Amino acid sequence: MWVFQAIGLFFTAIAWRLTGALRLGRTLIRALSSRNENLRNIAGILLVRAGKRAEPLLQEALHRRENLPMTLTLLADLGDRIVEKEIQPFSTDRDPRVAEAARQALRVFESNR
Amino acid sequence: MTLPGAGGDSHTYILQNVRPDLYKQPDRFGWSGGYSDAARNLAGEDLVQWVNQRREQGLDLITHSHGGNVAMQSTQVNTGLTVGELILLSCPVHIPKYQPNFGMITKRAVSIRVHLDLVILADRGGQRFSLPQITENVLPVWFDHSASHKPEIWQKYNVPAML
Repeated sequence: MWVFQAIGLFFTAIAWRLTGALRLGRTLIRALSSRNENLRNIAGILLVRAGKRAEPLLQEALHRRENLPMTLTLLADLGDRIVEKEIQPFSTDRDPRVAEAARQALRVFESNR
Repeated sequence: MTLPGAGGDSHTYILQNVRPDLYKQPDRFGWSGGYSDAARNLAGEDLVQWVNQRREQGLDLITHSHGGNVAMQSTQVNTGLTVGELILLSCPVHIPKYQPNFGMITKRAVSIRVHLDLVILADRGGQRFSLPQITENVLPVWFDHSASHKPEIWQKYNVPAML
């Protein structure tokens, strides 16, 4: 049942915060591709709340084209302009949903200036 | 009438069964669904621009999750949005950061939510509005943030009667 998985994500996020273990963070990354909308949302929120700690994991996902376009949105939410140039090439992606997400992500960076 | 923060099955269901005047053109409003204030503020400005370009001021808005906060932001920005009815489905409560300018709402604001929404818990938002101008409706459903936009939940608990 998704509720137990959701509680698991909360505990995973706490354990990740306490230990810094990347495999715990990757559990949240994997949950972004869940078929359950609630789990995807919870994972996304917990990753953004983790701030800088989530950035290398999301960059890793971006390079593997995992969970696009959500990964692009989350990187913009973190707001670190270092990743802006990594997002830029996706704005002309062959997948229109990915390209649009990248353009929106770049607009979020722009609005933060 | 538009749906920031909700789409797909819920849009089709509402259009066919609840509000035949629901906006149905292919250019309907959408936003990134981002989890940051920056993404929501940007979406609020985009919504104002979208409405003004179509000269559709006074729309009823059906929103889900932070789409509700986007709509509220759009009533606060300069030359803000005039809204008819504001319907907030499972909206995370972040007052005073996000609250409507009630002077810009010409009909009423309605909140429809579930018990102990786990997505709102993760978001550290409040579960209910305590503003007297917003009518609260709590569905007999626990934890499920997405329940409030599911057609089967609307049918089972007669959500259209709450609008």
